[in-house]
Amino acid sequence: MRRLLRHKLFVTGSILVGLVTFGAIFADLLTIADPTRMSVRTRFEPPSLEYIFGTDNFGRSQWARVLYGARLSLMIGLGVVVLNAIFGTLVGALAGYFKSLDNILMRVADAFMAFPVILLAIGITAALGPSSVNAVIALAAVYTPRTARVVRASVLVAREMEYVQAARACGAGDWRIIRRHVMPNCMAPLIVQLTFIFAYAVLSEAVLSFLGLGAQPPTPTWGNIIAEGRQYIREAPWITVIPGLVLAATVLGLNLLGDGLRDVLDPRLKVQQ
Amino acid sequence: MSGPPLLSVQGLTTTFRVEEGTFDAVQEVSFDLGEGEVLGIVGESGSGKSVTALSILRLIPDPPGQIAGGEIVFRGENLLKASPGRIRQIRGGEIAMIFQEPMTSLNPVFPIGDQIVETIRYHERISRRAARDRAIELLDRVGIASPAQRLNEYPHELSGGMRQRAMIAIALSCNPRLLLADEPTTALDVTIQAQILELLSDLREEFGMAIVLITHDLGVVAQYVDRVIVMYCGRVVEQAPVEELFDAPQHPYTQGLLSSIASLDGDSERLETIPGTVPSPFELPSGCRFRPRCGFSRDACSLADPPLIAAAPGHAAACIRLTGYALPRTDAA
Repeated sequence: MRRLLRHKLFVTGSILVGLVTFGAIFADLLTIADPTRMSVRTRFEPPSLEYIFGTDNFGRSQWARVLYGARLSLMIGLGVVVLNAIFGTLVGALAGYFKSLDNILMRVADAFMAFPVILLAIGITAALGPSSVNAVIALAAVYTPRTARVVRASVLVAREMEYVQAARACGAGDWRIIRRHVMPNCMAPLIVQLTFIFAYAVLSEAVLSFLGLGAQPPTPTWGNIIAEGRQYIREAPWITVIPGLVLAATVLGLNLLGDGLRDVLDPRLKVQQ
Repeated sequence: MSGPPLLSVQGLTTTFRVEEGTFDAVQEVSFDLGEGEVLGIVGESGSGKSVTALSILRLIPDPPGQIAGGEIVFRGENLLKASPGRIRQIRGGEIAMIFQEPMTSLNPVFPIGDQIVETIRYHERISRRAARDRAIELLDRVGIASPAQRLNEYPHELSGGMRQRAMIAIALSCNPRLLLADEPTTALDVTIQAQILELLSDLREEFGMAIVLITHDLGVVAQYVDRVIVMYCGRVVEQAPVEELFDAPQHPYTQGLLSSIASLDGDSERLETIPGTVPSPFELPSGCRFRPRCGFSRDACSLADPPLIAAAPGHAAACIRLTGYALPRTDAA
């Protein structure tokens, strides 16, 4: 823990992610404006004391929209991470532990990974119909093979350890060995991987909403705010630039967080500074 | 030995399939072990001693390994035919095993107490609390000071000797009838080695369990074992009561092993070594496997791999010098 606090990048990442999370959780306390209430008289207000982030083409408060957008974006990211943790761990553990399943599961994973992430996600959301729940499902499906590979790699190492043999010699069955002896020793890379998946998921969700495949307007997410503001980028650049910056900061923060965790949890990978 | 043996291994053959082909890591190994007896299995690396022990518990990774033949009868039950569920009951419950590396045989992410409690609870339906009390008793019994505190320590907080003691505590947790100890002292300091062997010897008397002590160092175990099996290239080349093995070794390989033990009282300046190296399992010589390294080899030795030939009651060696270089008929064994 102390090593984490001394890790400057990790601290920076935590602060960025912390700020965004704080904004998302306390969105209703930080603004009294309704993010979907339109007002013709206040269209295209530039950032000011009254409208911190300005207003958009319908006169809605950008501050409120970005905050409520953060709520949805982070929820979606979290949903993807949870599904990823469950299925990625399951698939990875099965593939790594049972040699007979390895080939089948990993070839399926390869097939998934052969497509560009966004293309596959677009395909799945298009098939399921555009909504934020379907975006979560699509992104989870797209990223699960990646997590599964990471888990499989560490399971392959852990299963050869002598304490697994020792546990077996004590009468432990396969499931017990996986649960008690293999998985706990794979947690470090899994946590790091999930942090990165969180960042990718937030980013990809923005892409999907930008393309109209995520949450539907008027519900604000970072992606569709940027999409809607795109037409006015010359007259009112704040509509697109501000959520873009917040998105970038969040992804950067999560990546720094992941790097920091990796350095601390696995000192062998640490790059010389 | 009276009554039926605790463990009877007959004609055990374990093969491994690797890229270069298939080879027998253990071939036609047979031995009996009585209740409370301590059997030493001695041999170089790759001689098949660990594979023999792992085969008894059916722990050979498959693939690439496979028990290709033979019988392993433990208390009247053929373990090679037992169901997977039954084998899991036996592992740790009736036959326990300890490994060479106490460093890596304990799971680094759990305190040692949890690992003992876990093993007890695999086999017995008792409360966590009762299992914990038993764990404290066990740690105390294997000579770990202030066991109640040690229970909560992680493996990396313990010294090598202590870790091996903790491993022994885990092995003993369900009162096994047989303990397989695979080079339990190889990774330890010499002073600790003696303590651990002494401990095993005490525990045998207290719990009345039989022990198979696998080692490559004949000198270390001599005073703790009753009988010795010498293995070479996957086969048993000699078996004898320990005193007899030291007094009158029959197989040239055993003789070589004995003369390569450093002794403090001897005045020889140089340690004897056995010339040559262990052959690859794919390039076994014809006839006797030890022939190329043997000072006594004659033409007859290349004709067939000799079976065990009785030299004295309870003492047999796989060397045709015992029959005056006459090839024994194959059915004689």
